[in-house]
Amino acid sequence: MNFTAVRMAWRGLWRHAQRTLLMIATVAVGSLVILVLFGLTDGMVGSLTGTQIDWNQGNFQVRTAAYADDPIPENALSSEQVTAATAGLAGMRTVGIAPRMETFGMLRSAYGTDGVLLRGIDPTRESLVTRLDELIVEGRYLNADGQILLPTVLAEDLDIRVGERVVILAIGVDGTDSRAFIVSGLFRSPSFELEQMAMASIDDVCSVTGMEGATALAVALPKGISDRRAVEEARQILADQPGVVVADYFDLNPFARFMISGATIKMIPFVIMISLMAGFGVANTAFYSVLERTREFGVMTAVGMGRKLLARMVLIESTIVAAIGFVAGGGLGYGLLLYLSRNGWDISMLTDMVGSIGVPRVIYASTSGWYWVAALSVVVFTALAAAWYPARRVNRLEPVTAIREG
Amino acid sequence: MSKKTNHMQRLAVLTTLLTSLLFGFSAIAQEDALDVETILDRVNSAWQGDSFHGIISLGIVLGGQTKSHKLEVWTLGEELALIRVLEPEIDLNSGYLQLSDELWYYSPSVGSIKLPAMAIGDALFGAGPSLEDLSHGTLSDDYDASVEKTETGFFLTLIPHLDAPVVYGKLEIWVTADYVIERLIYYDQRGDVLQTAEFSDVVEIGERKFATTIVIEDSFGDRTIERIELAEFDLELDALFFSIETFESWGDDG
Repeated sequence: MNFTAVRMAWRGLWRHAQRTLLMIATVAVGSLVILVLFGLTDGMVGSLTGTQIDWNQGNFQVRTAAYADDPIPENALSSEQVTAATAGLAGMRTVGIAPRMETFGMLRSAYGTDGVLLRGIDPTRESLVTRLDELIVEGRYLNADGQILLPTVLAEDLDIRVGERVVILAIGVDGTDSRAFIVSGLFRSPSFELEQMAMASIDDVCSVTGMEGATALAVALPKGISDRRAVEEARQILADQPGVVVADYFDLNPFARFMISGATIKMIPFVIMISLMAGFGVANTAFYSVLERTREFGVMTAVGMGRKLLARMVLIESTIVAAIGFVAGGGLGYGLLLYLSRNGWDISMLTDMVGSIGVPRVIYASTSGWYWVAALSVVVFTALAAAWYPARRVNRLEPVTAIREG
Repeated sequence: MSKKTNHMQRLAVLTTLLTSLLFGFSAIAQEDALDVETILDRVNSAWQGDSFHGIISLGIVLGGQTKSHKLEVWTLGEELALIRVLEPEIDLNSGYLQLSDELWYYSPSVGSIKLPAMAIGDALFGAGPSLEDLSHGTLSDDYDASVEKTETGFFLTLIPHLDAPVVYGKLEIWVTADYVIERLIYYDQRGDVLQTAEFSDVVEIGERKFATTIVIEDSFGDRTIERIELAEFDLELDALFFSIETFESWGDDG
C-alpha cells in the first residue's frame, strides 16, 4: 500500500491545527450526542421494562378478564382458579409464581392519612418473583401475619417508624373495614408506582377485603426465556379455563407500547439532524481547506503528482479527522454511558410528568455495543460523503488554471 | 404530613363536628359508676336515638390562617345526618348528607357528589375512636382501660391493644361526676401528645348537660374552636327531610 497520500494528508492536516481540531470536535460532538441519545433512550425503555418486571409485575400475570376491565377485589381469581392456574403453569419453566390480592385503601398513622394500593403477598413466593426483600432499607421483610411493609417515601410523609402500628381502611365486599398492622420494614421504592404501595400478607389482605383467591398471579421467567413465547405457551395452557386471561407486559402497561414505539421513531429526526450538522461542518471545513490550497495543488500536479493521489489525500484527511473525532467523541460518550449505566440518572425532577405511568425513579443507560455502530455509520459516513465534493474538485483540477486562479 | 386541601378541610369540619356530637353531650346521671364502659356509655347515652338540631360555629386555625364556618346540623337517630353550611357566604347552602353508610356532598354550583364510603370511617377516625364504638362492647377488645376517681369526677386511661385498629398510643379522658367530658388527650405511639380537646361552658337544657365550647389543638399548633350556638333536642323530624332535595330547595331560595 502506498503511504504517500496518508503521510501527505497527515502533514496537511497539522499545518492548520486549529482548523483540524475544529473538524475533529465537530465529528466528536456529533458522535457523542448520538451515542448518548441512543444509550439513554434505550436505557430508559430498558429501565422502564426492567423495573416493572423485576420489582413490580413479573414477566406476565394471570388474572380474570373482568379484573382487567375493573380492578376490584370482587373480580379476583377464585381459590379454585388460582389452584388450577398454578398447577397448569407448573409445567412451564418459571422462576416463581406469586399470588397477590390488591385493593385500594387509606393508610392512617397518628400524623396523617394517605391513599394506598394495598398488595397482599405470599412473602416466600413473592421474593422469587420481585425480590422485594432486597429493597428493605430498614426493619425486616414480612415474616408473620399482622405486619406491613411501607415505601420509605410514604412512611416519611406520614411520620411512620418501624415497629409502629398503622391502620388500613379498605373497601371490601362487605363495605369498609379497618385493620391494624405493625410496620415490619420500609422498602426503597424503585419506581413512582411503588411509592403508594403497602404490602402485607395475602391472608391479611383477604381478610380485610372479605375475598378469597388472588387478584393476579405474577409469574417470573428465567433469564433468556422469551416473554412472548412464554406468554403464548401460558395462554395455550390456560385456554380451557373460562374467564382466566394471561396479561403480558403491554397488557399490564398500556402506556409502555406507546412510549417504546415513540422512543425509536422520535430518535430518527434527531440522528438525521445531528448527522447533517456534523457532515456539513466537516464538508465545509474540508472544502475551504481545498480551496485555500488550489494553487499548491496546481503546482503539485504540474510537477507530476497524480490528481487521483491528491483526491485520495483529501479523502484520507477527512477519514483521519472523522476517525479521531469518532474515537474521541465515542470514547467520551461511551464513558458517560458506562457511568450512567452503573450509577443511573435520577429523573425525579420529572416526577410530575412521568409519575403516573410507572417510570422508574432512576434511569440506567444502556451500553450495548450497537451504539458504536450507529454513531460510526451515521457520523463517519456523513462526514466522508460530505468530503466527496472537495475530493471531486481536486480530481478535476487543471494545473495551469489552478496555479493562475489560486 | 397530610395534605390539607380544601376538601380535607371540609372533612376536618365534619370530623370536628362528629367529635362534638359523639363526645359533647351528656345526660345527667345520678348514680356513681366506676366502670369505664359504663361511664362512657353515660357520656354518650343522651345522644343515642334522639333527634337534634343545632347551629355550630367553627374557627379553624390551620398553619397560622384562621377560617370561620357556621353550620346548621340536623340528626335523626344514628343513621341520618344533614349538615348545612351557613358561613362563609361562598359555601352557603352546601353541605353533607349522611344516609346510613352513604355520604354525599352537596354544592349549589356543582350539585351532589357521592363520597367514598371510606370518608365516613375516615371522618370518625380523624376524631379518634367514637364513644359509640367504645360503649358497644369493642372497648375491652381494643383497649386496656382503667378509671380513677378524682375530686371532680373520673380520669380514664385507654391504651389500645397492639392489634387494635387505632393509631393512637394512649387516650386520657377526664369526665365530671355528672358525666360531661372535660378534657381528652390523644397520645401518639411514642408517648408524645398529639391532640387535646378541652370542653367548657357547660349548659343544662332539660335533662341534658353539655359543653358548648370545644377547643381541639394538635401538636402542630393547629386549632379548631367549636361553639354550639343553638341546640334543640327531640324535635319532630321527618326522615324525608334528609335528602338532596332539601339542599336543592335552599339553593333555589338562595
